Amino acid sequence: MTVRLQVQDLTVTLGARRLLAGVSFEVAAGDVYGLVGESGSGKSMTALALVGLLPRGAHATGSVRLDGRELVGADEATLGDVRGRGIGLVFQEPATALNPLMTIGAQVAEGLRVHGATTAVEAETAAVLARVGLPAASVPPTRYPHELSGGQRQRVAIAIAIAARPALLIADEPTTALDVTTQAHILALLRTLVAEDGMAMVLISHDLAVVAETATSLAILQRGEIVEQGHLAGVLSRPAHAYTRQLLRDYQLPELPPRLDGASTLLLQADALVRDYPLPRRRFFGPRPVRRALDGVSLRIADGERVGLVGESGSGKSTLVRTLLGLDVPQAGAVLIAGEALQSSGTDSSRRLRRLVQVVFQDPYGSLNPRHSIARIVAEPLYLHRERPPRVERERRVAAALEAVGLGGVNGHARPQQFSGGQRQRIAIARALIVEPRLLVLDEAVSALDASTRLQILELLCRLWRERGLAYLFVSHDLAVVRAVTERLLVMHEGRIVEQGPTDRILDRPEHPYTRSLVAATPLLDRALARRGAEDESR
Amino acid sequence: MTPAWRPPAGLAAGMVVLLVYAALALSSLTAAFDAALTIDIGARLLAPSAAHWFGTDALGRDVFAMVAVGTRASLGVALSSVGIGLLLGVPLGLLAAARGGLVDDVLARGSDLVFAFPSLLLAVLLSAALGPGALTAVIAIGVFNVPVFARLVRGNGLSLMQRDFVLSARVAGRGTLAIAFDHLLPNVATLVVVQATIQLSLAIVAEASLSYVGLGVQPPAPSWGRMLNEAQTLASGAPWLAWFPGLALAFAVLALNLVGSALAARFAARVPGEAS
Repeated sequence: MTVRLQVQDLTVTLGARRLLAGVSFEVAAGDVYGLVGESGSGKSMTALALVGLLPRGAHATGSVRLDGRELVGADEATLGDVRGRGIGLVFQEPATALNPLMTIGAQVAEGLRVHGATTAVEAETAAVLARVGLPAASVPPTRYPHELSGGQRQRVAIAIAIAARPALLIADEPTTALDVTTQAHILALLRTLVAEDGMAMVLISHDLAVVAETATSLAILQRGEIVEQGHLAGVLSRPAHAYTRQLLRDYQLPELPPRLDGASTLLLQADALVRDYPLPRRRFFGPRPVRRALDGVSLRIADGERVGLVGESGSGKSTLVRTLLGLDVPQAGAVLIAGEALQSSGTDSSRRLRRLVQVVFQDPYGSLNPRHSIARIVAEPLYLHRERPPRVERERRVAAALEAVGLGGVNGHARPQQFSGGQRQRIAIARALIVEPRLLVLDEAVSALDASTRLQILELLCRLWRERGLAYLFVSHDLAVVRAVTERLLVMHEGRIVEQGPTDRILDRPEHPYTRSLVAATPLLDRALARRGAEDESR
Repeated sequence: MTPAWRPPAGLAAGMVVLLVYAALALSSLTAAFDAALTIDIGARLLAPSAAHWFGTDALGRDVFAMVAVGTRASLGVALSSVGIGLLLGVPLGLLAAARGGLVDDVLARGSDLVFAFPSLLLAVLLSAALGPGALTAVIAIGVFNVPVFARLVRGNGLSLMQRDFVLSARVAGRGTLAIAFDHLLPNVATLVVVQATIQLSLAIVAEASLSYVGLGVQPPAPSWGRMLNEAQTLASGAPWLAWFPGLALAFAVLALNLVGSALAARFAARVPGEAS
């Protein structure tokens, strides 16, 4: 096969810092090349260097050849031509990549016109949109981006990228913001388009499983250098470099200690919860339509039980979490904590019940007030005591909580900005632990973390479970994580719990059609490697 | 990681000018200025000289002394009226963001009402009720500062309410007031400070305008606005009467805007990506 993209000894420097050092790889027509690494490893910098869009002051040396044409050091006119016609780009967040004020058809047509199309632009636009799975019959080109789902928007972004039939398609975390079933569809679409058009594709991802499902070869980046590269199955089944082995090890999630039998008391109970959200009126005097986010949801969590909750965005997961935490009031149904209904805040009973259920959110950058010291952040739930403990006692408990999450001895006056993402998540867990809750709601609590950090946080949660016998409600879209840390699983879809039971049973033998599609769509490293291995042998 | 912050030239220059004004306002309290402000018809309309740096006016008063005393009136009215805006507007905005509902609706409609109402008209009404004077000016300008701060704080507060640290605080049992003052206020404080410097410069101009039309500080106390008014008829013969209060006004506004934009840049640099 012909080599379309050839990168040799690509080095990017910014002042005295080397952002990329001697990166070399080749991509043939119809091939997908994966770039894998944790945040800050130089994946995205490589993509920017390929298209000559480096940050100000950065300087590239080496060689990038696209169909034989040298791009490093090329003049702006050549680069402009190559960027438009020769290279298509797809980014993580389709919502920001599209212009909200233009119809999707106009945005695709704009790209076509820039590249010289003058006649039959409309027909061609419709054809390109149909190729990415948006046929005019079901999704007219006159739609605006806000009228589409996240997956459809990413399809539009892909349509714009491939409209001019580029030689190279660069996709930077193209599915990270999407649900797993949508992710599977988008990855399949990208594979098809690459094969049909004979493009070379560079797929950048932090997720080894996504790359294993899609790419033919890959490079592992660490601190701006490729530590290992080659054929996918070869690298991942026989990793030579210590860092690759560590990345693979991070995917092997910890095995949970089995649950001790014995009657445990009911901790949290939700009965037939219903929550409607009003939508804007369609017509001025028309009735106000509602969206039913929770449609008769009931669940029970016993003391010490680890329960998983999976579902896609819009399934009602977040509303359920907010309702269980007493942040949102259901229209019907009730939430009972330790057998008592949660009253409005400020009462003694509500303070006592709220102490039993605490929460850790997904984004450790958003869940800590940037203006508060970490000691103040961790101590905040102590307001749930009628008499807030005296200062000395508060300081002792803050220190103990930080100690429990492996942050013993940190400076309590420091601000959250001085900590890494993993450390911030530990601070958030310490905050939840300080009132000694019995149930910890973990709302996508490890989803925003790198694989190695995620593993450490999961190990911390396992340790806390062993030491304190906490119950967990583990909300996640990541089935591998859910399998590792929960024993019972709830699957939510369109405001209902459609399936529940032992986690292993549900993930191995899903019964509900939705659960089945969810399990099938989830990229799993082992499964992908087995499939790729079989493909290679049959070749 | 972030390089040590050096104060930009604009901030330094603005602060120096503001310090000069403060010194001027303070020194104008001394007895020497009272003497310079006594009417001396024999020394009327003298051009600037070593004895009278800024010249004298139609009544023989020293224009430098008048500008200095006028600084007191200008800064006093501006600081008090912006103070009213801060003391009422910031808590209102915080409550509207943290509680929503009725408080929010009342605030929104009230702001619309105030913004729809010309400030000059309010000043005329107030002076009819209270009589013209510094207090009238403070209230008239202050009322218009309330919704400026309330809206700024409410808008930014609402986006903060969506952040997880506010949800965490609610799970930690914090009430509306605690969330408003413990969580929202520290995160909007920098914006409020920047807005306050801009509002101060606007208030100085507003005070001068009210004095110009006779609704502000009353004679014989001098003020920049009335000095400009009195200079109007004598502009061809004694242009310095207009120059110096005009320059005093211009430099005050310029200095406050320099400080405001330097602070805005400073705060933007310190919290990169905080909103993301």
